[in-house]
Amino acid sequence: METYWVPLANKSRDPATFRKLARRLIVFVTPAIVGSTSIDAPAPIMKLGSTFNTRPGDQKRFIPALTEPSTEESQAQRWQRLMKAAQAAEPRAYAEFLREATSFIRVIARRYHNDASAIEDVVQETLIAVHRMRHTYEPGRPVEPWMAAITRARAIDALRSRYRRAKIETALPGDAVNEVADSRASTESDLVSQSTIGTALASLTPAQRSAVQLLKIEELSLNEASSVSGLSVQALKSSLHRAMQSLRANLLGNDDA
Amino acid sequence: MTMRKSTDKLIEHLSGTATPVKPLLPPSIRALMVLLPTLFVMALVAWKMGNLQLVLPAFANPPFAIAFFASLATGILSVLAALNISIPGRSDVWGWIPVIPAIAWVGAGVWECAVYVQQAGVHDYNVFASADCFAFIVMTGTVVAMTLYYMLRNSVSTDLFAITALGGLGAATLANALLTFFHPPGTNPVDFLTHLTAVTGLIAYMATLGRSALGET
Repeated sequence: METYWVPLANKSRDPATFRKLARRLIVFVTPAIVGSTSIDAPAPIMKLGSTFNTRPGDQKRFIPALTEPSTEESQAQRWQRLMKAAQAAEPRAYAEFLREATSFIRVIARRYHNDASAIEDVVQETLIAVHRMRHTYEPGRPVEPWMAAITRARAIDALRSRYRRAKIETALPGDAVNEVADSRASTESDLVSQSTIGTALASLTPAQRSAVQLLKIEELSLNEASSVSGLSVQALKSSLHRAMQSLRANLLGNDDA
Repeated sequence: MTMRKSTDKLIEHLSGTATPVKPLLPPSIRALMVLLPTLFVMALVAWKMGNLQLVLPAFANPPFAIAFFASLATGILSVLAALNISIPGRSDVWGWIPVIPAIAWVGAGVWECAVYVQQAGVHDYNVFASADCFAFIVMTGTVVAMTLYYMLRNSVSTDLFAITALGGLGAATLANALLTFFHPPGTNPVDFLTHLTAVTGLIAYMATLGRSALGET
């Protein structure tokens, strides 16, 4: 492969073309070296391009560097550094790490799920798990196996919950679904107007309203809602239960009236 | 697209609200923190309360010595393995390491039983004659397992069953090793089966109890 790419790189004196070639090279080489690690590595490519511009004879030195483990090592070292900063709660480094990790997580999630929303669910669940388990990462060790294990666990959990749901849910014929949906829509619109719902929601405490908003309207999982609201899972469950009781009482009361 | 946006929002939220965390000590150090006090207390109990005059000479008997050291090694390696695989991304091979001494322990036990039957012949055994051994292994093992689970409480692993089962195996085989010093040398089949049942029972009990105690992540 090098015999094909290196002469191409040599022909190019334009840094932008060189970057394009280097990017193509990385796309070919990276999966072979680092498996599923993200191939979006703009920083090293920019560095290659600028070095090439200043010292054109140097490409022989850094082209082998791309195919040797040193590129992978630098990526690994970068993640180790970011993860260490994440443990020290440096927001920028932590956000950068999570953003870079997202593509890595997505690649693993795709091995278990086909559906885009299921993959994204796994990505989000994994990010939350990484956040909760970040103290279990031992500084100085590679981050990838640690994160891959967490991702696999979350992806398998998602598969299990999908199978569990599939077991208890029964498919209805298309017409039946539409009939139920139509009847529910008309009944609900007859019974409760938007203003009634608004009044009922306003009567809730902030914690109860937040629980309804996150769990019922935004349809977040308990773990996600807990992370977003700062409330414990138990507190969220309890708030939601009370909120639903209160809403039921308010709406039925209004309806009776 | 919306999902990606919500992922970005989640990242912003997680990074914005993160607080500093102290990384866990390496599993080998944490294993030492469990094993050193446990082994020290076991040695002290065996020295002060054990039947050393009867037991020490029995170490000249190979199956007896192998059974003791294999049980001890299974205990130590199981604790080390449980703490290692409690960290995501550590090699699954850790989980298989204690299997080797465990097989040696069972093999030595069978060997001891064969020698016993050869010398004493087959006779009516009282199934409940070794009830004390059962109680000893279960009670001592539970104490060791609790110490181990205290150390595991912050690991929040991704494979709880393997960890709790290994923890149970470690605790039970360490208790079994300590039992050697309170037990007449030479295991008969009922004795050995009782020990085996107690160890297996403790593994099952700890795997069930541990799962709810340590919780799913």
